[in-house]
Amino acid sequence: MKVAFAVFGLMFVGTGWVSAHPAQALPVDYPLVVGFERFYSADDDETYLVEGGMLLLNELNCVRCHKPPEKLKTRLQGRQGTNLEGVGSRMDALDIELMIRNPRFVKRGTIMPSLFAGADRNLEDIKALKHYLASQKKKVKVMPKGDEEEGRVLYHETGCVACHAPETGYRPKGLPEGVKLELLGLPSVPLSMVDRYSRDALGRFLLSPQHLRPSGRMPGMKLSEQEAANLATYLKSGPQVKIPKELQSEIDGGNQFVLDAKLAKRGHEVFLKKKCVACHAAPGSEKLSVKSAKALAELEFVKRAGCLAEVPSEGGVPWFYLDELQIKAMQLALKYLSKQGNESLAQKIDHTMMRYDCYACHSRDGKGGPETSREPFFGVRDIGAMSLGRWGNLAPPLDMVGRKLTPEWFEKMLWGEGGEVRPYVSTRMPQFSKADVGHLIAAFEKVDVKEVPMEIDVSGLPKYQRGHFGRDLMGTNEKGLGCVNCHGLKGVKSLGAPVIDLTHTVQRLRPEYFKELLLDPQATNPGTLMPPMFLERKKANQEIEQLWTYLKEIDQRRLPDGLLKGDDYEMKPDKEGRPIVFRTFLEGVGTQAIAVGFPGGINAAFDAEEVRWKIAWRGKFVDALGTWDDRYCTPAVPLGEKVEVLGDWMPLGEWNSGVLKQVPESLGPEAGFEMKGFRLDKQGVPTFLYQWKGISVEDRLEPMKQNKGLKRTVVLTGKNKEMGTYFRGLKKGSKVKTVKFENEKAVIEEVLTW
Amino acid sequence: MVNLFKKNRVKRFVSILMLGMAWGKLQADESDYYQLMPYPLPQGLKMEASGLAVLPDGRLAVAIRKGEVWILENPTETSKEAKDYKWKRFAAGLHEPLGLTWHDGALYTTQRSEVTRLQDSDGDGVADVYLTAAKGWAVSGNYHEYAYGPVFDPKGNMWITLNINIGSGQKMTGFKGTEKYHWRGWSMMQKPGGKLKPMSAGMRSPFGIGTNASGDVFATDQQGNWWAAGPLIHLRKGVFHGHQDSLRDAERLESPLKGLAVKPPKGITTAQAVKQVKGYVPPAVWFPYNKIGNSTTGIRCDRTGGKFGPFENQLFIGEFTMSFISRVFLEKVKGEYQGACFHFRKGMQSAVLQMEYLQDGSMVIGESNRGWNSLGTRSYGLERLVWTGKMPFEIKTMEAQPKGFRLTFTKPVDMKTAGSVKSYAMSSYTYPYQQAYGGDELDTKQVKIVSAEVSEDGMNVLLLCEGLREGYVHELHTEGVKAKDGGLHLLHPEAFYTLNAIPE
Repeated sequence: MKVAFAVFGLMFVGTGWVSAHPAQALPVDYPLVVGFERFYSADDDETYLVEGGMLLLNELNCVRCHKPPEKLKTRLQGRQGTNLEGVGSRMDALDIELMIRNPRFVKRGTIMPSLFAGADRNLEDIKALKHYLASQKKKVKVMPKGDEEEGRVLYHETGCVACHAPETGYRPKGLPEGVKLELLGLPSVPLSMVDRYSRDALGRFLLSPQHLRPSGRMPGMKLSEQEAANLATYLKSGPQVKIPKELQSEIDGGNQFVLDAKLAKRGHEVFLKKKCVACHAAPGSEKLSVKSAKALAELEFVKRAGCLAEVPSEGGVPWFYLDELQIKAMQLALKYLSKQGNESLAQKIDHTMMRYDCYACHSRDGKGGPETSREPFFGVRDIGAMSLGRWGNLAPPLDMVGRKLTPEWFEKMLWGEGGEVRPYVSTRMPQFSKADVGHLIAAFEKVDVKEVPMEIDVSGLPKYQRGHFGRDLMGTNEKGLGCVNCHGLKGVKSLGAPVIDLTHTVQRLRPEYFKELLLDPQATNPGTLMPPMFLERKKANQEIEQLWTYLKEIDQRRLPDGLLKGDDYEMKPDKEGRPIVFRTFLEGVGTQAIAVGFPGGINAAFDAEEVRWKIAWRGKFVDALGTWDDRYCTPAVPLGEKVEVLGDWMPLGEWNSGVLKQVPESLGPEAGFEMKGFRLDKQGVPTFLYQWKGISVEDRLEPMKQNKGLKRTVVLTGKNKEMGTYFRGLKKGSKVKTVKFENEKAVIEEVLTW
Repeated sequence: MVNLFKKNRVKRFVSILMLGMAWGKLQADESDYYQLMPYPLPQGLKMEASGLAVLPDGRLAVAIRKGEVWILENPTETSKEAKDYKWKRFAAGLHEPLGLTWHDGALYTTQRSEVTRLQDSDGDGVADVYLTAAKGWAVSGNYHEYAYGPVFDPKGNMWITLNINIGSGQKMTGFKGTEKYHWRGWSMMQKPGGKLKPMSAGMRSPFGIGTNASGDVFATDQQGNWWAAGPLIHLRKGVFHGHQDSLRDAERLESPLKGLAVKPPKGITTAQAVKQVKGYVPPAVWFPYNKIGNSTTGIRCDRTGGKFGPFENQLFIGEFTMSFISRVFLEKVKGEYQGACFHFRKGMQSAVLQMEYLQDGSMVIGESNRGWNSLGTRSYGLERLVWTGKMPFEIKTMEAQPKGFRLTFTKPVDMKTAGSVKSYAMSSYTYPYQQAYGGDELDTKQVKIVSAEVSEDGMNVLLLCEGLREGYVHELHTEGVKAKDGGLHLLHPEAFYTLNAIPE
């Protein structure tokens, strides 16, 4: 009795702190089963409460000792208790002893019953058990140094507060000053073990909770080792609940704990005898079966006796300290047990969502979702998401999710990684285990099936399905629906408010749902911010298929207009400073342009059709989009300024009777010029090669010093014309001049400035 | 079946494809015989492989649509790391090269406006001379004016094919382009040291160009106006292949097709066009639409000497939309090529454009679906097709006989099933010769198989048929035939023979 009183003292120490820390939040005074807590109250009628009782029979693990009727075998499987491997390294001996004696005082709200609460408890058994459990050693790997403040932010913004209490007074980032945080209505899952575990043990636990808690009720939160260290550091930063000295000596008899191997061995026997093994896995106990107590159906439910007794009945009988409502519900469940059938698929989904508290974040069929006072703790990374209202920070409803997501994506979401498509949400989708929730995928698929199937052709074969049509629709061009105003792609943010990134749409969504959503967003996903873009669009079917095709090929396709940056396709000289030589359709030249971009922003273009230089310009070179990636080959445009249109004539001609009266109008091949190609020198500067009436011409432009202009060198090889040869320069207004040949060769130089 | 789905080509194709898949599952899988191995690509390299050439030292040169040529030093490497293949950019700044070949010590590629000879004069592994090897066709700037090739025939003549324009050209300041569309839809040839000259007309989008084992030059074309299905055509001087747009140049000075520009009669079939359209020469092989082709592309003759399996000297044909490769057996009947096409290997990652053989006898496949769409879900890629050495059970050849066809198999057949006429079914049909886009099979009739006579060694079957029709495609199904060993069905039980002439 003394000890029990002292434990109340400990309790007082814990709650007496006027503390903000979540580990000190006021706990409930009975075993907390979140699903029951969330959905059942004293006002409920009996038929409804039966369901709650069934939930408790499973969650309080009654069925581990009391065998359920055969037909309820899959519905009532119970849950795996804490894995006690290495418990002696995680907790000190005193805590272990207290946990054995009266679990709910060490771990407030625990569902673990006391097996030693009765008056006839055997203190020797307790001692033996303590030695046995304290002998379970496993080295706890040291955690990296943690940052308390980062841990605090992590705790409040990644979703811990969906189940656990926030720190009193903590204001989530971005919450406007005037907004008052409401008091929580639903009890939070206590963080009782925070004080019992070392920081290292706590950090390791947070990294993979299901290792120690195979029930999976505490999911993984996809923490990195550093994040787990930060979180553990924060959680340990609250006022530590210390065992008062007098209590410690009361229990220890003033002596330090020394492990006694003999006692430990006896403790193992007690562990079996007391049926601890019904719930807990512990090394050496794996294959032991528990002799079953009375079958569930045979239990007396009217009398408050045994596990349901008002006061602990006798040693070895579990005592839960149940709440009156819980007892009522369980009594009802037992009363109507024979009428309970096995669960339907829809019920199975509901039950699973209650057990794993999916409802803490998600709603489905109007049930669940976070309580309003916790909503501010669903954080955003991108302030822009706040403009989306509840869609910006909260988890999506799971209505119709079975016809929305592909099995592959369900796996990513439920236990895999990389399933997140809302980069602006800081709350994480927790990781459950495949064994626990794997059945949901097929169940969702069956339950959510659409009565009249949506038909969509995603073969990618009909001509109208071409991906580039889909790209046009996504973009902000005149044909576009402007999807990119809200949706980002391939890591590029949307133009406006952030919503789901569409990069993985094809892997993520079932095409039928994609179409259903686009055709009627409100009917498909009530409340969605997605506008009905396809309302009254005559080719909606085709266009949706086009979008699908584009998204299917997205990894190799260019971004839609709007997300594509203006200079993504601008050609720039490489680091080595070599000129760019680029054949293209070019404004100012034609379809056979060979544009040359010199480093330093001086450019010119040769027309291989007319066999002559045609324009020169300063500044940026050209954009290659039309040439590289555009179906319709939109001509490139000189990007820079000061485009100089060169003289509309050929560089060479024959004197007419020794006097040039009129420059011939013909150009290119008509004037006897034949294109031969070009040659690049070591610096990459092109020399254009052509032929004119038996004379070979080499024509080269290169930038002058300080890019003042272009220097042109023309080398002619061959015999001078009978009537003499003239040369006419590039610039408009250039006069003709006689070419002088020496040894069948002539070199002409000119300078082009503008 | 054909009538059932007449109005929905896609459905028809899908159902056929699924039938094919189910068949494949019942039996052996294509991958047991030919394995696909996609190349890992260097980061950021958009491998829209539109031209492939193997250099004398075994390296692989790849032209990409963006306008570059890349060389892989180790094309037979199997590593998953792109760097192990040693990629190097050889040339850049080209204008949509759609073809690449090694000839006379240099790479040749056809750009939109010229054939270019790329030379590396200083031996640093990068081209520094871009010589104009041939030009002289109009480039209006219309996006569809693709130019394909070149290929060289055994005499060293260089052949290219030119796409017709679909729509008008570009308007640009400074661009005169007075003769906007000439030689569009023509094949062109240039003798060594000569000028580029027009050879044959009547093409639409003749992407594929290649030679057969005898060095004759062939092209594939795309279903569309004047083409009810994809054809394989034999290019040579003075031939009109069928597409009318190209005839606007028939009276030009260099044209070898003068006097052809006459309006064709309406409502005729291609079989009738042979007699009624002046100059018209039907394709050597039709690829019945969506049954064994939707958009035929590259041509490659198996000259690997058996390294690529049992189909030496046959042609392999790329398929864009359906992303597969088919196979063609050709024979000469009454002086003209004709023959059969067969399914060969499906499942390419993107639209197939080109194929080329590496020195080890494996096939490299260049892919890009930009501008259109494909069953392969990638936008582009490069992959290798390697024979596993296992002999597939296939119809190796299908030869026309005076009263039927002779089938030659790659493995001995089971005498009982191969000798039963019940194992076979055949129908024949022709196509409309029309300006409207595409066209359904016309005048379909069953061909009665009277007897199936198996040769002693089980390698041949002579099918005697009643109701053979010249100018018709004869579609053969051999679902009942089994192999002698193991009882496998044929890997691909269909054959499509274009019977332009019945031998005497």
